[in-house]
Parts: sequence; C-alpha cells; structure tokens
Amino acid sequence: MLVARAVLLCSCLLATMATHAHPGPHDQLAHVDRIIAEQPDEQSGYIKRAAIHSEAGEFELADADFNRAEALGPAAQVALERGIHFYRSGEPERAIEYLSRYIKQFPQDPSAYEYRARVARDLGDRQQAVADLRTYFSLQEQPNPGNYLAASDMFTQLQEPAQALAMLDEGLETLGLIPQLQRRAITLELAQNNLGGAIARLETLRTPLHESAAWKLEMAELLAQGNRSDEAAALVEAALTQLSHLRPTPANIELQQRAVELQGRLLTATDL
Amino acid sequence: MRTSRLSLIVAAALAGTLTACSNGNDNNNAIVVNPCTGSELATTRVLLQQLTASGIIIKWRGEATGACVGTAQDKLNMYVEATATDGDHQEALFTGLEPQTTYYYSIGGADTAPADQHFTTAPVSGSLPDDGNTRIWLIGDSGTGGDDEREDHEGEAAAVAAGMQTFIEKDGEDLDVFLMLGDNAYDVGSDMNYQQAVFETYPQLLKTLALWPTIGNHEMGIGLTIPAAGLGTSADPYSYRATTADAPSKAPYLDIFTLPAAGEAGGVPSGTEQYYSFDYGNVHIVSLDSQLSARDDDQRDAMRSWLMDDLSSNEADWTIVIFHHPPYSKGSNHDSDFADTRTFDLPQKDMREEFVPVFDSYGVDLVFGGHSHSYERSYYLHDHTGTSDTFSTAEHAELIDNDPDRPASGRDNETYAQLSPTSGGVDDRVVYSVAGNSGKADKDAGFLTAPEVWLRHAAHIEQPADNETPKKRGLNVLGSVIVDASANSLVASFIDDKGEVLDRYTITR
Repeated sequence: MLVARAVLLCSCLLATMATHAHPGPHDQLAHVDRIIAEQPDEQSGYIKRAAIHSEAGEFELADADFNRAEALGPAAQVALERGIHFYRSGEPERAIEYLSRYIKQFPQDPSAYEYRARVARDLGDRQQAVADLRTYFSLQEQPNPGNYLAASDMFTQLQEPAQALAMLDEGLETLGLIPQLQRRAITLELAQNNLGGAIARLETLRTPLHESAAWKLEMAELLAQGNRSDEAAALVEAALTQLSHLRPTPANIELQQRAVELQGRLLTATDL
Repeated sequence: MRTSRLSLIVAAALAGTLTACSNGNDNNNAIVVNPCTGSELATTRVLLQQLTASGIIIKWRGEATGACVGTAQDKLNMYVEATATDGDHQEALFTGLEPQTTYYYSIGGADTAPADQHFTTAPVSGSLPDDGNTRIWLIGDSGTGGDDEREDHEGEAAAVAAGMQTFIEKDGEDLDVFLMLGDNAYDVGSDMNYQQAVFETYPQLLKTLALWPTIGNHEMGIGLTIPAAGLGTSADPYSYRATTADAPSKAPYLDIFTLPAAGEAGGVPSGTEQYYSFDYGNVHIVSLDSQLSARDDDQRDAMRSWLMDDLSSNEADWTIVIFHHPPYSKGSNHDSDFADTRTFDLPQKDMREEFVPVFDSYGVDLVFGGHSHSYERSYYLHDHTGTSDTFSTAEHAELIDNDPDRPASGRDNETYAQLSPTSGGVDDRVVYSVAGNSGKADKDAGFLTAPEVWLRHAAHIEQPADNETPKKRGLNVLGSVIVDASANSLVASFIDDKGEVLDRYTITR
C-alpha cells in the first residue's frame, strides 16, 4: 500500500508540477533525474543533482556528478558547489582550493567568501577568515540583521571580540538602531566585563523599545551589577508600576517575578 | 526601499506658512501662495504605504514628480516632491497630518483631487477610532487576477473583493486596514504579476487604504533546484529569479512596498522590510517573514529576537500576527504535519515550533496565514507545538467548564476571553487561522495530503457550513476575513464571495 502510494506520488509530481506542488528532496532528485535524462550533456543538471546528493550526505554520489559536470563544461561553474560540498564532507583543504578557484573566476559573488571564511576558521587561519568575512560584507547589497549576527559570531569563534563588536556596530550603522544587533553587542560587552559599555548600549534602546517594562528591568539588572542601587531600585519600581497596568501574559508574569526578586536583592543590599 | 533611505524633500510646507513681502501699502496681510499649481498626471499604479496618525507615503508609477494633499478636495495645499525609488516608483512622504482626518490627494501637483483619491489617517496609537471600531480586511493567496492564473481562476479574486463589499454595505462600516497574507501575485511575484494581480485587481481600494503585506513563497519566483514557481528556499532576497534565464536579483516585492523597517509606524525597528510591525489605534499588527527569514537559522533567530522585543514593547488592546506559512493546516498539498520531509513547507514546522511559544507568552490574540487555498481556524490554543496527532483538547484548547469534551468554539455564547479562564486568568491563548482562499479555492486534497485528513486538522474547529458528514474542519470555498476590533471585543468573520458569513468567533476583554 505504501509502495503503491509512493509510486503514485512520484508520478503525480511530474504531472502536476505546474500546479505549484511542493515536493521534498527525493522528489527534487526525481525532477533533476528527468532533466538529466532529457539533456545528458548539459552541465547544470549534474551540478544540481550533486548539490542535492551532497546536502543529503551522499558524498560519493555527489562526487560522481561533480566529476561528470566538470567534464561537460567550465570547471569554474562547478567550483562553488563543489567547494561547499568539500566543506560539508570534512575536506577543508580541498574546499579552500575549490572556493578559491571560484572566487578567482567570480570575485564579485559574496557567497563563496562566506564559505571560505568558515573553512579558514575551521583550519585556524584567522587572518584569511577575517579578510573573507570583510569581503563578504563589502559585496552584500543589503545585508539582513541575521547576516551581521552570523558574522559577529564567527569573529567571536575566532576569538576576535573587537571585530565581533565592530561587525555589529557596522550593522547598526547600516540598518539603524535595531534590538537584534544591539542585544548581541550587549552580550559581548558583558563577556568582556565592560559593564559600562553594556549599559550605554542598552540606553540606546530606551526609545526604540518604547521604555517598556522589560527594558526597565533589564537596565535595572545592569545598574544593580554596577552597584548603582538607587537608580536600579527606581527603575524596578517603575517597571512594576507599568506591569500592574498590563495584561498578565506569561512574559509579563515572568518579568514581574524577576522584578520582585531584584527588588528584594536591592533591599537586602541596602540593609547590609 | 526603506523610508530612512528616501531622503524625501519637502519642497513646500502648508501654504499658510508662506507669506509674501509687503505689498507697498503697509498692508501686512499675508498672501497665501499655494504650492499646488500643477496638473493631475497619469499613473499606472498607486499605492498608499505607512499610514499612521500623522503621516503617509503616497507611491506611484508615472511621470509625476510630486503630490499634493489637503483636507478639502478642491483646495489641496501641501506639496511634497517625490523621490524616485527602485522599481521605477515615485514616493512622497507627508508628515504633520492630523489623526483620524480625511485627506484628498493629487499626483502631479494639482490643487484639486480626483474624487477617488483620498485617505483617512489612523487614530493615535493606543486610542480607539472615533466610531469605536477598527475594521481590518485580510486576504490570502489572492494573486490570481493576472494572466498567469487567469485561465483557471478568472474573476475569482475580484469576486472575493465583491463579497467583502457586499458584507460591509450591510452595516455601513468601512475598512480601515488592508492586509495581504502572501502569494499576492501569481505566478512568480514579478512586477507584471503585481501589476495585474494587485494594482489592476484592487485599484480603488489601493487609492484609499494603506496595504500591509507579508511575503509568500510565490513572491520569490522560481526555485533554484526545481525551477518552478513558488519553490524557492533561499533566504536571500537577492536570489529572486522569475525564469531560468534570469540572473538572480532583488525580489520585486521589496521594490513595490515601502514598509516600516525603522519603526516608523509604531513598532520596534526591525532593520529589514521582510518583517515589521505597526499600530492602528488600539491594534498592533506584526508581519513576519516565513518565506525568506525563516529559511536561515541566523535570520530566523534574529526575527524571533526582534519579535519578542516588539511584543514586549506593545501595550495595545489587541495584537494580530500575519505570515504566509500556517503552523497548523491540513490544506491541499500543504499538510503541516509533513514539513519534516518536505523542504518547501519547512517554515510551517519552524514557525510552529519556534514562534508559537512566543505568541503564547507575549499576548498575541490572532495569527493569520495563507498557503493552503482554503479557510481553517483553530480552537483558542495554548502550547501546541507538535503535529496534529499530538493535539489534545484537554492540554491545548480553551474549555467550557474545564470539560475536555467541550472545547469552546468562540461562537455565540462560547466566546473566548482574552484572559483565559482555563489558564486561570492569564492571557496565553491564540486563535490561528488559514485564509489562503482569496484568489482560488482547492477542489480536493491534492496528491500530497491524504483525502481522509484533508481540512481535518485536530486543532481546527468543525465548520457548520461544510456539507459533509462529519463536517470538515475547514472550508474550500472562496472568501476572506474581516476583523472588527473594538475596546472590548475582537470579532473575526469569514466572508464568502457572496458576502455571507460562514464562520464568526469573538474574543472579549
């Protein structure tokens, strides 16, 4: 029954592609198989099938298709996907070789730089990784918040905290003052024991976050860490007042508990 | 194009602020010079964006390089020179407007507006409209009005719009907000698709209401691996291709719309037009990106982090979230239980597992999606992040008298309360709805969804208007949703293309 259904699904897939069905990886393979059968001397079909095999962890099948693709057309067209494939399959030196080959041919395509940065990082080549990350960003037309977070994380992994922060600041400069990046920067500042820097950064979010109760409590927690108890206590009080007017959502209930706990700690510290 | 990049130039402010020199008779009467001295010029598309209590962007395609607005149709007196933006558009940002005020506008600088060019500014954030109600129209997968789907769905999107008009004429309450749930322009979200399926399908609405959209899979052209429409899985908005012959480029969606990435409309700045939020009076509306941002772990994490900040900063009476891929659906070929094995529908699973807990925790009331070309809606849910076989009314639904055999329907005398009695007075429940039937309605289960489960998701409520026994938990008819938000109630009505209400539920506060 299951087999019959699978056969039915495959046959239906091909018949109804135009109706915007959404097949999975095996269906993708079936589709590419059909393309290759129709155009056996076309390089692009083998590259696509190799990429699908590689993503599925079927590295030998992927290599066979990559070899075939290289025999059918310009090797540079294969280099990016094959470089990524070698990165996936744990062959970093060969990944670097292929990604560099691609970059030489297509120096304006940012994607290869990002992968080569990852491989260089894994190989411990921090200088290359940092340089590639920089190039990657210089070529991005309009990076998204997540691009900056990913790059900043890579710098952190490379033990380059200043670069990690600089990457976030570059994002804040490009995309505007957005909490996704500033929050990560606050985390990095705290990891560097720069409480003042963290407080200054959180202060910049006061208006974008509409002075929310959550913002007040976070600021109070940082101020308390810096022994600025009076300011912290005032903010906790303000947060609790604000929360008393808001609906009891799970998030607000949790905030209230945190606020009461901090208030207690601040009182205890004052008593001592 | 983000507004912060527009650098719009205010060429002249209100005419009343401009006074002439003395006329030589020591008569110091001010001479008012109206900057609106041009002519109305032809456009091929007009779109209102970022409507707030104090401003608006008027956007068009045409030769005009400026626009005028005013509170009297024949005395327009505020001129703004437009900025040319990507996609051959012109944009004019007007600021300093009065809340809840009707303005007329001309494109080209005439001092008289065509009768059909007007808008009403929003109430101040947090306040109710003068009439006490915010009326929101939601359409999903509506983009069948163009050549690419005309043959199979001729007139269906227009019929849904006509059904909405029939409905609102009954009570005389106009629309305030217009939302699109993705797949706004079949087949590939190209500029031409948008021209036909959006601008030529809803021309009058677009001249009077701001449109707030979300990104569907058909906004991203064809897939890379399988070059068919709607099968893109890239997280990169610059990976758009309409045909296999095209080089990758920016998705037209991002040129056509000018969305509040910098928090211009009351939300927290997101830094991207792919997801954003805005306020309309006492309603906060969030548009998430389940197509692009959800495809990449870092992008998805960033969107989730932003969402938590946005909702933490929101104190509106009601919160509505829209995105394309529904976390719960048993639609034709779009069964949310299959996302593990179907790459292209993976966002259904990701949104359910990673975003539903945020909706539960941060006071979201309603979530709308499309993707499935049918209408489905859930019970008043809590903490349901699994597949449909893990759903239990006892654990996940609002109950009457705590009886798991009596999940509340939200209808008639079973209205939901924002502070859930089942949860002990906590605001932790959400209604999820699929409304992807505003341009076409599926006829059967398709070849991926099993016929016996089609439109029968356990978390969805049975639909009395269905004619099967037992009744399906969804409706495969054309239609759209109207939400009415007042101070004390949020009423969602599913309207068919004849204007009849086939499902209605209420949340009270």
